[in-house]
Amino acid sequence: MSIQVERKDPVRCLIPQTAMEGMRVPGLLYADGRILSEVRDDPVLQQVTNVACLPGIAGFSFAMPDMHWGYGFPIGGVAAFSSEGGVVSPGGVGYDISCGVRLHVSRLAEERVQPELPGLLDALFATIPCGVGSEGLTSLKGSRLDAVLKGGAAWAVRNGFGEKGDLERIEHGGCLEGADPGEVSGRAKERGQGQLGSLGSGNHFLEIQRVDEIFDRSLATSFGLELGRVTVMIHCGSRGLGHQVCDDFLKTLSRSVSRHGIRIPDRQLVCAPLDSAEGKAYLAAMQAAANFAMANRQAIGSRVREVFSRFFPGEALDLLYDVSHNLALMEKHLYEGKPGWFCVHRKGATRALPPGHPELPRVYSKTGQPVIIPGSMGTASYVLAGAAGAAECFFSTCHGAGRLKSRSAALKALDSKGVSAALEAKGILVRAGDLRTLGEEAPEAYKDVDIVVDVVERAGLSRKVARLTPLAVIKG
Amino acid sequence: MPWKELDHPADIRLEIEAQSVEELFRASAEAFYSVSAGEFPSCFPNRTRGPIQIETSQEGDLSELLVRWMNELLFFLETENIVFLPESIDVDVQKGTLVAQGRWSPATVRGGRVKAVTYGGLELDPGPPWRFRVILDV
Repeated sequence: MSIQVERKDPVRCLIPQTAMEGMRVPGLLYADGRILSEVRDDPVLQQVTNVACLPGIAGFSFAMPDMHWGYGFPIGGVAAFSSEGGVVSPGGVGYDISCGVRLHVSRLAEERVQPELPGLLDALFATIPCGVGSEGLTSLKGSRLDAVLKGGAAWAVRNGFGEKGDLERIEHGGCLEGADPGEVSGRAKERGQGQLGSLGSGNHFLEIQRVDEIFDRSLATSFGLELGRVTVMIHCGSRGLGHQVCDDFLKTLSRSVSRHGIRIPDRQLVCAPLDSAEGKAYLAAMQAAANFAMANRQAIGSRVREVFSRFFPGEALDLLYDVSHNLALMEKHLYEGKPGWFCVHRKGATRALPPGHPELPRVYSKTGQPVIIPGSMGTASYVLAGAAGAAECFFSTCHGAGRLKSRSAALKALDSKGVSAALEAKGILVRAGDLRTLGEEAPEAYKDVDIVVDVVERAGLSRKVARLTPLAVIKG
Repeated sequence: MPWKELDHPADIRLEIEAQSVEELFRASAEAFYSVSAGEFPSCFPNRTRGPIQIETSQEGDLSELLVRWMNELLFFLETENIVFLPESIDVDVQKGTLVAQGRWSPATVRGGRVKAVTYGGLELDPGPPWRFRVILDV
C-alpha cells in the first residue's frame, strides 16, 4: 500500500491524518527529495502511520531523516505521549535499550598519533571485548548487578571506571533515578551479568577519528574540538540484558493490551497506559537497562583512556558527552502553549536540548547539548549542538546514517575481506570482533550521513559543529 | 534447506517452510542456529538439561509460540553456549504449548549474532506446506 505524503517545505513532508483509518495525529517526516525517494516504498512510512494510531500521542508521529524499517516503531521515530491518557511502548524504545554513543576528545594532533596508530589499535582491540558472545571487563552477580542497574555510570565511577567529572557529561548524570532492578527478570540479569564493558556485535564500534572540518568555530572551541585533533567514539548499548527486558515486556504487555481496551495495528506496538501497573513496571525496568548501558559505555571509555595513556602519557582524553538514542522518558514540554508532561519515545533518535534549557548540565548551558552522530564505518561522523527549532519535535534530532541496503545486498557488493581492503586503501585501519559483520556493515549499506545531518540543520533541529573522519575502527 | 533469507534493510528476515507444525519448529531451530552460530550443530551431545517447555500468552497463537521457541534457543546459546538438538516436538496449537525433548550440545562458535527474535512483520501461512516469516535482530 502506498502511503500519501505531502511536501510542506524542502525538508519536511506530511502524512495526513486521513492517510489511514485510526490515525490520531498526522505523520511528519524530515526528508529532502533524495531521502524521501529512498523511503517512498519502504515499510517505514506504514510504521509512521501505525504509531500515529496509539492513544495519547501528541502533535505528530515524527520520523527523522535517518529513518528506516524497524520493529513496530520505525528507526528514526519520535513520538510523545501525554501523561494523561498516553501510553508507553517497548517497541518505541527498541531491543537495545539506551543504545548510544559517546565521544572522547584529545589534545593530540593526528600527526602525533599516526605513527602509533597500529599499535594503539591492537592494544584497544586486545583490551575492549567485542564481537558475538564477547564477555565484559567485569563479572557481576546478585546485588552487584542490581547496584549497576540502580546506579548506572555513577556505579562505574565508584568502582574505578573513570572520573567523577565524567558524570556531568553524560545525559541524566549517567543515572536514571526511576530504575528498579526488581522489575528486571532473572533471565535478563543472567544475560547481562558477564557483559558489562563490552561492545557486542552488529553495528557497534569503537573508532579513532580526526576532526576533519569545523562548521561553528565558537561552539567547537567550547567543545574542545580543533581541526586535526584526535577523538575516540564509542557506540554500544545494554547488550543481552536490554534485549531480554524488551522481549519480557513485549510478552507481558501483549497479555494486557486488550484488557486496557487498546487496539494496535502491529503486535510489536504493544503498549500500556502510563498510569497502569504494567506501564510503570516497564518504565522502571527500561531505566534499569539504560543504567546498565550507561555504565557499559563508561567502563569502556575508562579502559580506552588507560590504553591511550600508555601510548601518550600525561595526555587527557576528555569526555565530550554521552547520549542515548533508544529511550522513552518522562519529560516536561511546552505543548500548544501549556506546559505538560509527556513520555517521549526516541527510537534511533537523539534528545537535543537547546541553549538555556533547564535540564542541561552547567557546562553546556550556553552552548546547547552536544549531539553525537555516528556515521557508518569508514564514513564521517558529526558533532551537532541542540537548537531551539527542535521544540517542534520535543527536542529531538537524528541518530546516525540509517541503513539503506540489506545485509545480504551489502555482502553481494563486497565481502568482509573486500570491505577491509577498501577501508585500508583509504588509510583506515580495521579490526573486527566478528568478520561476518564487517561486509554487512559496509559504508555503502548506509544512507549518506552528510545528507542526513544537512536535513536536521536546515530544519532547525540542530546546528553542525564539526565533522569527524575515521583513522581506525574496531568493529563489534 | 527448509528456509531462506528475504530482503530486509537492517536485520535478517527469514522464510521457513515445512510440511507439518512439528517440522516447522524443527526447521525454525535449524534456521536460527544457522544464522546465529553459523551452522546447524551435529556434534556429540554431552550436556544434561531437561526438555524445553513453553507456552504462549494467548491460546492458539502459533506465531508467538514459534518466536518464543526461537528466543528460548537464543537464551541458552548466549548464556551457556549450548545448542538444542530436538528429537521430539509436541505442539498443542489450541492451548499454545510446546514440549520438546532432545539433547544439548556445546556450540562450536562462541555466542550468537542474533540478539532477539522479534514479533515485527510476523507472517504465518497455514499449511501444508506451512510458511513462517520472522525477523531476527542482529
